[in-house]
Amino acid sequence: MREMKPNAVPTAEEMRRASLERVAIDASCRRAVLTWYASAVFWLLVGSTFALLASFKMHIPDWLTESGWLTFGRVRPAHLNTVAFGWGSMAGIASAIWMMARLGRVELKYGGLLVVAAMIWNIGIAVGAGGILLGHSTSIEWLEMPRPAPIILAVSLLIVSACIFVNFTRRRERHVYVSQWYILGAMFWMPMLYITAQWLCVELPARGVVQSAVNWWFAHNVLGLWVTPMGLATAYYLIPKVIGRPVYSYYLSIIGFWSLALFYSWAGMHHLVGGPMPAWMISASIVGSMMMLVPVGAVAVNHHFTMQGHFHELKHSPTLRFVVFGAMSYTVVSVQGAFESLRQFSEVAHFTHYTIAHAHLGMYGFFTMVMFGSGYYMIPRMTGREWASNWLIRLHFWSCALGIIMYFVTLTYGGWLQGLMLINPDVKFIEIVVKLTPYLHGRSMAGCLMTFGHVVFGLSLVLNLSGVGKRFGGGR
Amino acid sequence: MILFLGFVLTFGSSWAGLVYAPRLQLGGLDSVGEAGTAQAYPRVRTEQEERGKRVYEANGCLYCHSQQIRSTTFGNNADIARGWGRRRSVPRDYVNDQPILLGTMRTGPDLANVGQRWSADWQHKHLYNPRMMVPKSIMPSLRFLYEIRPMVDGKPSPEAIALTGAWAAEIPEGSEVIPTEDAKALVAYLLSLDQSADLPEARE
Amino acid sequence: MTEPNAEKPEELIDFDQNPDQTAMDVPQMMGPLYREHDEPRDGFEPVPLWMAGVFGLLIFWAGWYFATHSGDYRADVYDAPVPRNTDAGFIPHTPEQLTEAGRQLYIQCAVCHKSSGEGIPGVHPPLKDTDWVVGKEAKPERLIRIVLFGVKGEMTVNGQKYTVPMSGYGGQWKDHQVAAVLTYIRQAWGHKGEPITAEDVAKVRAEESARKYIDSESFTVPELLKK
Repeated sequence: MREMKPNAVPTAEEMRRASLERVAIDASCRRAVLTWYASAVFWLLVGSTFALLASFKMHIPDWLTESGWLTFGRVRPAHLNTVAFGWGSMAGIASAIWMMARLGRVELKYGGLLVVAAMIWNIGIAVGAGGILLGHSTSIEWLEMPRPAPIILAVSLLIVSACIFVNFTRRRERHVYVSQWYILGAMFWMPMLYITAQWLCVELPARGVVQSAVNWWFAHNVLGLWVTPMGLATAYYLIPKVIGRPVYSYYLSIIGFWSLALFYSWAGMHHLVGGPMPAWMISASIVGSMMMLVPVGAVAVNHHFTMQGHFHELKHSPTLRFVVFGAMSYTVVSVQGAFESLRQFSEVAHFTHYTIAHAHLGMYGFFTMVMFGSGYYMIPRMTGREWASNWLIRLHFWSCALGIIMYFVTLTYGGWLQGLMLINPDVKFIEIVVKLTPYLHGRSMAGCLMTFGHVVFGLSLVLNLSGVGKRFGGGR
Repeated sequence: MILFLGFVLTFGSSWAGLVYAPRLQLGGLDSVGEAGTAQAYPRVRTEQEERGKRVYEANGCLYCHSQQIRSTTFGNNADIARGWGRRRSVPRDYVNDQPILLGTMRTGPDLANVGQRWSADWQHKHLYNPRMMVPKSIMPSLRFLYEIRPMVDGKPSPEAIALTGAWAAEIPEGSEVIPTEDAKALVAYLLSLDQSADLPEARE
Repeated sequence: MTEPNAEKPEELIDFDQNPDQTAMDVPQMMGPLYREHDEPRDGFEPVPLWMAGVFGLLIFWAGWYFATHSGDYRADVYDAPVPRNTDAGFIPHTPEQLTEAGRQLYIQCAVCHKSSGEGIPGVHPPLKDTDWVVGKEAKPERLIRIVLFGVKGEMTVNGQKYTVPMSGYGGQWKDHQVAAVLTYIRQAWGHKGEPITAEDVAKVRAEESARKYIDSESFTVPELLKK
């Protein structure tokens, strides 16, 4: 399984063969990966629009209230579902398809089927988001999409999983690299999670608070067993790939992976802390959340020592810049999350914007940034064309990076103040609302920055897809 | 192979712990009193209240309003001290809720007992435009649940919402604001929210 | 798209069969793909000792936290580690203890009889200031029989007729619980009734040992008045 390869400098002949193999693999992935990734970016733009609408509505409450479909309570779940299941999942799947082919050193088979799956997925998101806007939301957080959207998504998800597993069995490289563990795990867990949660929350609902338990078990596991593994798989692939150095320690990878699988899946109940739930369930999740320090520590140390001595390359490689930003956010957000789960901490932070800031640092600062990095790496290899403009990439990075930092700092501080006031019964509720307004404005500004970055990225992608940009090697 | 066994085991452990065990422990929980009647607690909702709950869900009220009162020992007893409820919420309060709307955010106040706090009239005015009742509120106006129509024979209908201040001037002369069936149902649901029944397990 | 490297990769793979193609073409054609480093590999540095130590401590902490915050895995303990219901095995004896224990149990009765003890006129009879609880009909044995086995048929309370049957609690409540709730209703709302003890309840149970704790064997009012 883990025989060591000689670290010798490859000969010209070896390099030629290796690059030929890569060309063949990339070509086989081309249609599937481009469909999934371009769709993802489309949903990112749609989702960002919803996000801005929702954010502005929080301080302009009489804006666009004539009809129901743009009311805050519909736009907000539309935002969550388009970015989490549209952008995040689709970008993750695109990266997963490509990395699995590269790491298995075998051309992708059933690429056409994966394109069809992407189309089905797009229909699912469109139906789901449309349904939410038309007032059919289920109001179960992370499962808001009304029927038949979940069924459509589940079908597509099963196709994707099956394709990934079948392609995995066809692999030429016998060694299974850490990124592959994460992707296979995610592809195995997500369909089970999604179907179980749909079943127990919507189709054949569990009673009362049991439903809340299932709901948050699912919602947190979407992060823990779907989004995070795909983000980490990408980071584990791209960091050593770009700097050309092995990952620091296989043993840390093992610890990181298995402790994540075990502990993350237990962490969901802290969303219900203080609520009408038996204490043992909340405590189990608090333990699960705190134990997340193990995988996070392992991954952070592993990535840090891999990067050590190569930090200067951040300047040259946009991929590396995005991915390392993401990996650092992962460490910060996970350590924060572990402590946030504690009862003493939750007394203040629960029910506030503090949690919103935390969620965005995870989904955006970590996952989205890593996915941007992976896009910057994959897309030119798919289209055979360099990015049109380095300037656009820089603009994208800085507006998104500054945007998320501003978002996080503003809402973390504002949310903490909100929490302190909420647990002080002497502060009138409306006073809290008024005192929070500046932070809501700050959030909107940060949101504008990030959305601007997405538009720039969208532009880059459209340029590249439509044939603007230098061909590899200047053509033939 | 070991990989897949591990996937199943780790996933299975949390499923058993956080889905199956709670189902065993709480899945059979029932209302007290004669289940399925108006005498039970929590009582079965009327058709109109159930419809109102769907309006509540469709318009995402839960993204700003929780429906759970926390114990006297959690968060300085602020929930109860603010008058949001007389006792903490317990699992039994929710046995009739599908879906359950506990909520995870308090941009607005908790609604677990909102039925005790305000009248139907207040609720209608507040939903039509929250700032009519709470000047600094940031709650979105739910105007789309109300119909503005000309008065019949120049006389206001008994159902009409009595607008005040700038909001009265906003609508055309001789017209009135009438709640739609959805608005009436939503208010009926809000008025039904009441966790004041004494439950043994809610005692602290 | 027309690039051969994307559309027809096999052409390039055929490189093996066409060795005349110049080696120089390949890097030129494939640019970044050629410059690309090998697929990532694993390094085998050992896990730093301090990390192992930190992980060990965390596992220790987790065990301690769960042991002290599990609330005994009970469905009705919500706030760990606040010791709640620690007196689960406590048995009330004195009239004060019985009243207090009864106050908590009465919550189940309050669904019908209301916490004010006034019931719902015409549906569920009142308990407050009634013949049956503190008036002329108020024999402890009768009250105990009602709570243990329930009542069915017509019943007149303070001049009003009631027909909704009441289920018995003898199957689920222990003697001291029946005693507690009865003592409570004889002390609450300004009542000055004598306490009822667990021994009284045990005596009635012994007398009615043939009767089952099911609704069909509830007492009727004439039966009660005979006792």
